[in-house]
Amino acid sequence: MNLSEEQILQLAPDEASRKAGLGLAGAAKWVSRGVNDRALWGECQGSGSKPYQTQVDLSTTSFKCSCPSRKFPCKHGLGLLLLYARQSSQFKDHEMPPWVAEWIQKREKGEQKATAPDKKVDEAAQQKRGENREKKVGAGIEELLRWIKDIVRGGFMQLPDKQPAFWEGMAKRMVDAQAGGLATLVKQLGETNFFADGWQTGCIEQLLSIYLIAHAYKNREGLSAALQQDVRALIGFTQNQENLKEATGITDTWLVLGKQVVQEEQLTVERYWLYGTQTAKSALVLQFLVRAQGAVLSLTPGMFIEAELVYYPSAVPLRALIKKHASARPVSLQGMMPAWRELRKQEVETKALFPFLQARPCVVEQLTPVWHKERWWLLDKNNELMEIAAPFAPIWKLAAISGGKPLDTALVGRDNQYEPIGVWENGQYKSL
Amino acid sequence: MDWNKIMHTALLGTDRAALPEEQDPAALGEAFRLVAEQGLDKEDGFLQMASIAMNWRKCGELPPNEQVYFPLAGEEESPYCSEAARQVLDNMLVIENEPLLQLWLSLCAASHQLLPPERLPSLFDFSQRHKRIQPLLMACAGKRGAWLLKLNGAWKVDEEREDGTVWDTGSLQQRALYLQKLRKKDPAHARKLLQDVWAQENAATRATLLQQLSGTVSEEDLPWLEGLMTEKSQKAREETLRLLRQVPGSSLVQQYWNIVKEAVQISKTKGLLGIGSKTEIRVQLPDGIDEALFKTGIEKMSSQKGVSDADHILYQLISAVPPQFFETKYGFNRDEIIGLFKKVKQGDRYLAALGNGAVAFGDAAWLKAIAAERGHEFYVEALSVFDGKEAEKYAHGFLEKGAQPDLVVRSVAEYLKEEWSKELTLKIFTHTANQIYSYNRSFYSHQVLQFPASIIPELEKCAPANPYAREAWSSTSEYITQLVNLKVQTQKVFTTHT
Repeated sequence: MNLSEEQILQLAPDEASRKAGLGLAGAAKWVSRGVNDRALWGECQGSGSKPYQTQVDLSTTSFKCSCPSRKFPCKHGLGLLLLYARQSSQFKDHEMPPWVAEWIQKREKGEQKATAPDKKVDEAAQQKRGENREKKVGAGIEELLRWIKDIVRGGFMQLPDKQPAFWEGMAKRMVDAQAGGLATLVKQLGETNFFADGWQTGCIEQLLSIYLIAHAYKNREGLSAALQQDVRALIGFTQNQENLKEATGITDTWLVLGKQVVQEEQLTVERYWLYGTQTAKSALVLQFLVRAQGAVLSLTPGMFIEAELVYYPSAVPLRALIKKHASARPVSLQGMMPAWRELRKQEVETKALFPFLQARPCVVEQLTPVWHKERWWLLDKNNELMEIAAPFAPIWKLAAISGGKPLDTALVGRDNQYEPIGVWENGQYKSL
Repeated sequence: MDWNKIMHTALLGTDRAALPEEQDPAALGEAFRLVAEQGLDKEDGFLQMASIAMNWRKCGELPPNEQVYFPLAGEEESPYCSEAARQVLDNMLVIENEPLLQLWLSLCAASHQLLPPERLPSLFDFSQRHKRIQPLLMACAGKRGAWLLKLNGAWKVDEEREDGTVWDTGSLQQRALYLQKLRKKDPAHARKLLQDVWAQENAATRATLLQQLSGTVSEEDLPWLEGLMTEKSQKAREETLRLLRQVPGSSLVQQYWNIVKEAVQISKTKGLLGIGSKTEIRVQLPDGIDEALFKTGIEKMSSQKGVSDADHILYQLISAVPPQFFETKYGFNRDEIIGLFKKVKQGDRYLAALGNGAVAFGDAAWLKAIAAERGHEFYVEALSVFDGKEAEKYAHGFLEKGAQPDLVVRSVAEYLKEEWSKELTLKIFTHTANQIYSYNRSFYSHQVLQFPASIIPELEKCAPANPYAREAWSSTSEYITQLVNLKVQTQKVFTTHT
């Protein structure tokens, strides 16, 4: 296991779990402790008579615990990992007890099962369902386009006076039309801060993006197959993950550059930004949790994984799923962007293939965070500046690490605004 | 195309503003012509042109190239702390424990090491809510810390500066700290500094600076301090009186003593036929007390039932003089004087007052004698008078008896700042484990530095019988273990790496 204590703590689902996990990182709490190449396990004496059985599959950093907690990983899993990171010599058992061996065996079987072909589906019924949905989406899009044109006719100046129902109504209509992606975009448009300076540009760009997607869907026959998939994904059509898993992916040692967690009502969306150390490809892996349940991935920024990633079909692939993965040792990265100019050039090429708004991760060499004209920027070696998207909470951490000196920096962003998510200091990756 | 023209049309609406020109700019002319050829309505035409222009604009946008002056942080001369120390620090930051952080910072400063730069912002944030850590924080922040502070004006951090300029230019808190330290090293110089600026300071500053002399006043300060008794500011006057009460030779204490010695008359009378002798004591407040006395903090009226005004005044006066004075004046030893006071009406009150006097003037021998006599009352401040072992024994005795346990625990927490013995800690935890609402995590969090590591295996012994309290203690024990482990780890990482 190559995780530092800091990385282990970043696996915690919340602050309370971090604190509780730390409290369980003492050997006295664990009545048994063991480790071998495949797993880490221990029995933690809780308030009940029987100790909780906690186990970690080290190949994928997956957790299982017999405690009743719904959190993932639970405090016992975190405590066990922390204890191992601190005092590995305390783990003297190397033979898996039956409860660990059984779980590991099941996981191995599960992996094999996952690769086995699924049963046949009723293709006719599936096709009919698909056609019905396309009709619904088509009707919804016609309505959306009329709504957009009404806005354009009346002018954007009238928008600050619109009631919330104006935006909510159209967002709901898109949900009814089974176009969830468009619903989200309309909702975001309604969340424009009309009191902020320069709201007009952002608002117009967002509306134009919706228009582009809607029109692209209407005229999808003329698009390349990959771009058609992009448009469908933006509208809200989902991709069958089982089919994707059958495809051959790209194997590399991937560095987890960052993790962003977004709370959407009862749904938690975890976004993992990955970077292929040899292929220089970037990827976005999403994990959806309902009430903190359903997690299968436990990745933490700075972690290296040896993994096969399958990209969702796209003109410029970004979203991917992890077909299989295992922990890996840190390796050096290839293909960092030398400066902003090169990154902008790549962006232009991307935009030519995919003309929609989408944040992407990238790694740029030797950027210095600077305070200039009352804003924070990232200055490259050619004295070219890129604004840091505000608000950016970890700016002081970034400045403190830099001390005014340049750092290789991992970022997520688009156009003329980027958010740093990690930096390399003395060859070590530090997430922000 | 000028993006502003697109914006203009968008803001006003296609009903009121014209569509952008096709030929502007040339690069988009062909694309716009294709749009126009489709014969779209105004709105669709505008939306398509604007979409093209939006992407064209973004693709053409180059990052600004400017000469930016941004200062570099200075190169550090001291080494950063070890990885193990950093890890312990991280764990402390998760639980936000101020005493542990203070310990960590003090050991880091003592070993001339520096904080890892990326932890500085979290610590500067933390220090805004916990100002006491600021001087130590700055001692470990290095040049990177000073550089960050210049950049972020929202962090107000008081640095403990050793140079004399802090006295002239520092904040009140910095000056007070400087004066307090100087006073311990060079009392006369500290007094001189204060005298020099006295006239130009306002009332609140005067009172705050005077406070720093507490516990260090001596006969040498009297000429100046007594001159301040007529201060106009009530705060400064009260502070002066408080200081004068700490010096046996001050005119204030002497004024009290003059009344007391007149009030307490001890005489030897010969027995019948001149055989043997008998010692008698008479305690009575003399008549005609000067009203000025009541402007020195002595209360004139008693608020206690059964205690006359005269007794109350006398009680306060005896409390404010050193008990040693009685031995010198009357030629009796402690036990004899205690024995005499026991004979008079209200004798126990006067003994209590003698105990107060012993506390006020730090007379451990007298305090011990009074404490032995008045075993039912716990002198809260006795723990600051007795030395460590004696203080522990005194507190332990009361906890053993189960007398005033909360008062004892609070006093121990306040006055015994060194690490407690395992036995005393066990006694304290046995009491606090039962009082889950009075002693929550905050209590343990504040006292962690006093807990010995040897208490961890003993925590189970303190578990209360009540199932609910027992369950709570189980969780509290985990918390205490976590805190004590962090303390031990802190000591270890700085011992190992220095």
